[in-house]
Amino acid sequence: MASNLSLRTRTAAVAALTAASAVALAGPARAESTAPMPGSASDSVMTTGQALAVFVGIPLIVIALVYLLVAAPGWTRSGRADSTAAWTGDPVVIAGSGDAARAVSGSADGAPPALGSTGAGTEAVSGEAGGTSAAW
Amino acid sequence: MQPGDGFTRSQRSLLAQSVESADRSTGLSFQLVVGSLEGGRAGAEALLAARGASATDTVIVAVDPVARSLEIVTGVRASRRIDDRTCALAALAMTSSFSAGDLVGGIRNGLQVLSDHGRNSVPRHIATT
Repeated sequence: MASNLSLRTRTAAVAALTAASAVALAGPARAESTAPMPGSASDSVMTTGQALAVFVGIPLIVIALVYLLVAAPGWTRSGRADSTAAWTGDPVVIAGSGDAARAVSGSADGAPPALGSTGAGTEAVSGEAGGTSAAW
Repeated sequence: MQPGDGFTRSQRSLLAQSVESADRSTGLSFQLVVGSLEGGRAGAEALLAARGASATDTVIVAVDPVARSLEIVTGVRASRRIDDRTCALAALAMTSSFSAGDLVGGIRNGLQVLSDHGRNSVPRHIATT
């Protein structure tokens, strides 16, 4: 999925796309400049404003566009790279249909439940529980 | 991010589907808990115990994104279908995705591993005796 791509991958993809577009567009432009039409204004002098627009303005626009394309997915939560580090949500408990398919967040009064402090029934398990622990 | 919006609606729906699918394929009862887990392993076992009579067929998957810890607890009968090695394999799959920042994908991968190994076996041959 595109939102799961790293920032470096997205940057490389956008840079490659931009370079390919520039190469594709440069061919026809160069062909036109090497064979000027009779009576064309190819020998006219470019003004300072035009030079600034072409050599400064256009690159700046391209840079801004590339930055926007790279950074914009990260502004949405789904495109954010590290959802584990950004977690500040209430505890979420999701159980299957055996528990009436409830998917609840927090308690009914809006306060998050304290996970691990479960109240009654803690002695109901007989025998050894299995499983594992891990960290990342 | 404001408290309470840890998952988007679509992410929550995906997780509910995964839990539901694991329940159906194994016949066990899965419970996914994401959030701060008091007491670590003991807290997860207390969650299992709180299931009461159904605790023996329950699998608790508790993820604490802030403490970066994961607990998988299986009830007595559930542990016969999903042994500790399978839990370790699922934990490895999950923590690999978590390390890359993919919380939802990691949980789904782990549930998939657990349900694959705990699946109700279907006889694929006819007894000839």
